[in-house]
Amino acid sequence: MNSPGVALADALSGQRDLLLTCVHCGLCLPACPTYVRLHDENDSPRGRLYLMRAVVEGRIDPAAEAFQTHIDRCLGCRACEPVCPAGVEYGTLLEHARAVAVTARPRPWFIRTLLGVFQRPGRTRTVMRLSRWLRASGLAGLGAWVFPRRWHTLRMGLAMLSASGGGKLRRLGRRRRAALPEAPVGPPDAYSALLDTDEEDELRPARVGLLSGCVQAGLFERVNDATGRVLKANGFAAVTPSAQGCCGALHGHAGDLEGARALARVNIAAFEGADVETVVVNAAGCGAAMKGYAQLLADDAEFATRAAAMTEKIVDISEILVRYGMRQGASVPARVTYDAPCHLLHAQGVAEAPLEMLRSIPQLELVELNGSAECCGGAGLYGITQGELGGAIGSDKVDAILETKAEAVATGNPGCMMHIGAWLRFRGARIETIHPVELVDESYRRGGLY
Amino acid sequence: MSAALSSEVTADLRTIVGDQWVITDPVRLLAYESDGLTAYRRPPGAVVLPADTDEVSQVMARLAHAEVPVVPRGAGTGLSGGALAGSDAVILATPRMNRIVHVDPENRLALLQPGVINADLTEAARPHGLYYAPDPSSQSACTIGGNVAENAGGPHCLKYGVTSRYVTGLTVVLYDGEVLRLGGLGRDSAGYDLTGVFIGSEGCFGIATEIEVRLLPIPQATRTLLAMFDRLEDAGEAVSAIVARGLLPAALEIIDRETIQAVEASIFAAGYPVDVEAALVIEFDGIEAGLDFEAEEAEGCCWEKGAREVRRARSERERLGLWKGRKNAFGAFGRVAPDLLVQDATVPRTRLPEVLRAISEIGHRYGLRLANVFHAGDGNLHPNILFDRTDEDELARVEQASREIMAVCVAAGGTITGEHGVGLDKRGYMRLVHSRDVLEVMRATKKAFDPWGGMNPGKVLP
Amino acid sequence: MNALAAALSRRLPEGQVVEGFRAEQWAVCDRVPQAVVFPESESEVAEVMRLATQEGWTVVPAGKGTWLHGGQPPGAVDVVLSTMRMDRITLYEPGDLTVTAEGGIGLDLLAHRCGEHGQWLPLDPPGPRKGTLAATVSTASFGPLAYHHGLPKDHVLGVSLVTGDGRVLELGGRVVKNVAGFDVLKLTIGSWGTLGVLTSITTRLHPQPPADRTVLFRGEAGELVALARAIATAPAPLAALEMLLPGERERSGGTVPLLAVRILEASEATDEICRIVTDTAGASAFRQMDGRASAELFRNVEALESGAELVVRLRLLPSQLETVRKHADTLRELADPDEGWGTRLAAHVQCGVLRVIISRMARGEGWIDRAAEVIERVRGGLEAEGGSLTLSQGPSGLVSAVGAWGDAGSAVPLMKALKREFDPAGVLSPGRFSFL
Repeated sequence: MNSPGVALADALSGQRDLLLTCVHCGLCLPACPTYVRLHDENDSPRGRLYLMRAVVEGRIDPAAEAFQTHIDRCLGCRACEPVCPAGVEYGTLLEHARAVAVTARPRPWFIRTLLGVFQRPGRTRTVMRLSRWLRASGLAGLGAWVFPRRWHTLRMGLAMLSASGGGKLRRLGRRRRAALPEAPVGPPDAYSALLDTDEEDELRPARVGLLSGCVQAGLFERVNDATGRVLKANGFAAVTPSAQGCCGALHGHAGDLEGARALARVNIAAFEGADVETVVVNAAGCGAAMKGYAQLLADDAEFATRAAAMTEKIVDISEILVRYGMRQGASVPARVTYDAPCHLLHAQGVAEAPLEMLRSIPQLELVELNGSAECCGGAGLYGITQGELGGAIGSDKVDAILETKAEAVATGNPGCMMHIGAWLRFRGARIETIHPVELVDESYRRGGLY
Repeated sequence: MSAALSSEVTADLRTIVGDQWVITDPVRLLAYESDGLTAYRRPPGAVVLPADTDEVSQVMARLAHAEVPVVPRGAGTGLSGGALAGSDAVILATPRMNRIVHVDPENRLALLQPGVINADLTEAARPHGLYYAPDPSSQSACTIGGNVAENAGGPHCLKYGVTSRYVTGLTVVLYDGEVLRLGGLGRDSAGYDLTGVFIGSEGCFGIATEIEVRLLPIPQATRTLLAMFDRLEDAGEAVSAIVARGLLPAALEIIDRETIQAVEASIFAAGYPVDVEAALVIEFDGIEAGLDFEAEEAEGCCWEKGAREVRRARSERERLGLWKGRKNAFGAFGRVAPDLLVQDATVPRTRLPEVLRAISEIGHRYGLRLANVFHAGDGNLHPNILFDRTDEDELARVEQASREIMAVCVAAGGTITGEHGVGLDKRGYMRLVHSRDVLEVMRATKKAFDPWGGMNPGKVLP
Repeated sequence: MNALAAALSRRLPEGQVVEGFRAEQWAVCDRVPQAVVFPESESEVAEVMRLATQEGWTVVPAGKGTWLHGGQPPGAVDVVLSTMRMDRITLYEPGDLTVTAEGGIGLDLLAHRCGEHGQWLPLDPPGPRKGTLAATVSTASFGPLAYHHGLPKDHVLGVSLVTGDGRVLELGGRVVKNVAGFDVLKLTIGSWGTLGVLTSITTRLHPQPPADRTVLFRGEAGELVALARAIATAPAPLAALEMLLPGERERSGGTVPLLAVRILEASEATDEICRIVTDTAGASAFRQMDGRASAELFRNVEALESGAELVVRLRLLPSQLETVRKHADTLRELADPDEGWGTRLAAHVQCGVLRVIISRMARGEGWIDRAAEVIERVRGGLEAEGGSLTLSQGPSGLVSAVGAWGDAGSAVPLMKALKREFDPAGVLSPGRFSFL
């Protein structure tokens, strides 16, 4: 064991107490998408925790190929957390392990470049402009189609970009709409009636902050717009402070904890300046990361308390709508299925709200997706970096989606939307990938709410 | 790596199962150095992951030829160290053999590979209105192959019995690669019940590569009660009263105060009050009609024995909540103490109160924290000792106390393990329950299946 | 007194050894022993076995001698060892729902004693109720209750076994969950006295069911098979499901083919299960019997084999009941149509077991060979489909010729090794398993 290894191990040692709570019971094994497919315990949460522990105990070097590979191969979906009886904070430990792994062996150039891009808003904007051009010109879709499979990184990147383009929402359910009687839209005064509820008046925030995000703002502006409109229709005025930036989730997952912390500080300051008690997030990955700010900055003298306060303010768009009751729009008689983003379901424990939100849309036929709780394989940059495994997982997800015979799959995270969309395209399936709030927005639009 | 496990052998294994399904990197082998019992650490020489009976047979034949011992492993959730191999041995793990070959609702049977997860079998049977009865606490992760090896139990065996009652046939591969087909529901097998003796053989006889099991119709309805007691003994007496009244609940489970507190502090908090001494979970299942009567009778028994409060689950969600806390008790202890020794012993049900008193006395005497979780209906105790391994003095006291607890249980007419198996951990206690002659017969029985001594050596027998 | 009996007499208390004409009624499959011993304790059993091993005498363990003609005839019978004088209950704690009794206790006595505490052992093997617990366990016999309540192996928690060379082994225990070491106990259940003498047995007990009801359906055999299969998959706990087809001569006397569905649950549940059964059957029951009448009916089922000359057990998967019935019909030609009842068929529907019970076999020149040929043909057919044919009882010549059991397959060497361990001198019931 060389001395740099020991020094690195110290970083993980700080988490020793968290590691020790793992009693090695093995209940996490079947919950892990990589273990289920690779059958190697090193690719299970228990195995990865054991590798971390071995680093802490000085039994292995974090530069060891096995440590690197198996820590890298984790999707970070955190499906192991809800099934862990000891409540091991796997997500936190993984970020630390990744930090150790990265210090021992730097990431490939394109990952470093990408993280660097998201570190600066200016760079992000430039790259996003270029990306939109690639998408709009059809070059992204073309590239994904013509490039050989062995150029996986490029091909996948382009396919995901192409898939971010948005669905033909207005056509949804048109076939069946003719046959169905139009559902009554709530009376015009429903809006004001909603605001009149006496008990909740005090609690109901009139102004909320909205995270625009990096990828979300760059490639999914329509989702942000839909979110804004839906919030407004339900009586929330959304403000988007211009000082905000990328949430830092990608950095944290990739082991760049310092990068993540820097971005967290920026966002905390930005939203403090906006003077809001609630910050709405429509990207599950960002929501999970921001709910983790308290943990991330726990040792930061200046920011620890502020981060904890920030964490309290974060809600997913589905949570806020369901919590305070939402207006009803017109019918969207489409057959739709829902895939739960890991970072909403496992990391934030938000399971029912998105479903309830979708159920509120009249005549929307919501079909259950087999394995909805399992990761789609996108997992941030995973679909690109771990092509083979990410592909196998993505392909299984597409199989399940096809089985539902749905016209659209709804999922509340840009990474998932792009990854699922890319795999649907590879398979030639004509199924739209949309954000649940887009469906609500469409329902409101059809109902003439704006 | 020992001389026996040469690169030549591992190269041959790679040829048989495919390169990616053999693990030899020492760093990667660490994950296999423990199972659900972390007290022992032994990295194996290699791990091999075959896909079917044929591959298992070839792997075993090759290893037998090289005289390399084999240790079968399922999900590694076992609590007796039974799935550990030394560096001279190879772990044969079954996760790739996870296919449910078929579910046959007409005959209420299923045929499966050993790596199928217990809960997945029930899930697959559900559309047919059937389920698989044995439900060990680790059922969401443990494999049927492992259940067969350990003759696994669970909270519902009071009424339904253990694994051996549900396994009707096996395909078994012996150390030399020979494939035996044993039993099968549709025939009377000639000769000795080899299926029966194989179940619970802890991987020492061979490895089951196909398993035929019986399924039961899902009970029409359930009633779950939770009774809280201010004295542990009262809970024990309530159990006796229920049995004396001629009721046969599907489950009767007690958890003590220490356990309740650990569970309530975990993410699976089930809403048990943290200041009671014991909580008794009672479950009845069967035909809807008459269940309320049984539940009321049982409730009466609890009040009679001084229950402070009795709750009834009103919905399936509440019912699962009650069970979730109980079933995850083991993992929840991770929050309370750095190390945990999960003990397992069975005593005749009527001796429970006195045995509990004796165990608590032992705990006091050695200054140890004990948490009791047990299947009270069948007298199966799990006194869990919470400790810190780094405290050597405490570790020594834990070992002493464990031995005394075992002795108390045996003296009460019980045994040293009810469902976790002997494995590596309890070999030392085997002489407490078995005579030299019986141990000799066990040794001979192993020898009949494995004359070469290559299957999971050093386990079970002292 | 012959030398063997004399030697035994010297080792055992007076009155425990019998020989000569009194030993004749203890003939095992027509083989008359030189002596019958009735030890009263485990140590006396051990003494007999040590002596037998030393002298090379063959010993066949027995109970009350109610079924000495069953199974494969042993090769030689020097001594019959009856445990019938060992019939005490040694430990009974009703609160534990377990009982420990000596092997020679009759099932009737055991039932009586447990019944006093509202408990029972749900075993209903064919034959008279006075048959012993050890005989039932040793032959792993079971009846209609087995599918729902369990086989002998599911009830027995522990035994004391005296091996061929007189070692006393305490196998298993008296607790319901026990995985301390290899489950050697299972080998002894169904070992037909080839591994040792069962001197003590601990079994689980159950609370006696509050109600006992049997619902009867009638119809022709084909219809009953279909009905039986439908009811077998009904989502309800059925204690037993028996298809009873009377012999030809009984039919002419007015007895009808029946399907008997037994329910042993609380009374409210019983009504509900009845409803589920009749709904599933899509037919109304022909009769319903409650309490004592229901129990009596099943007592008669236990006695179906008594007085029979040939009993053949056919087995396939439960869903193949109709196939089994066709095979069974082939065996009718073995019966003498003018004697007794002819050929009865009785099926444990849920287990896929169908018994062909022939009152008296047709005689005539070469009848044994002819019968052997028919039976082997049927056995071949069943085995080809993964099933089995077993001769529960029959003329010794016939059973010896075809073998009581089918092929034991590649496990034979393993079984031989086990047999050697328990009975090194090979004195216990040699030939009971022809393949050993």
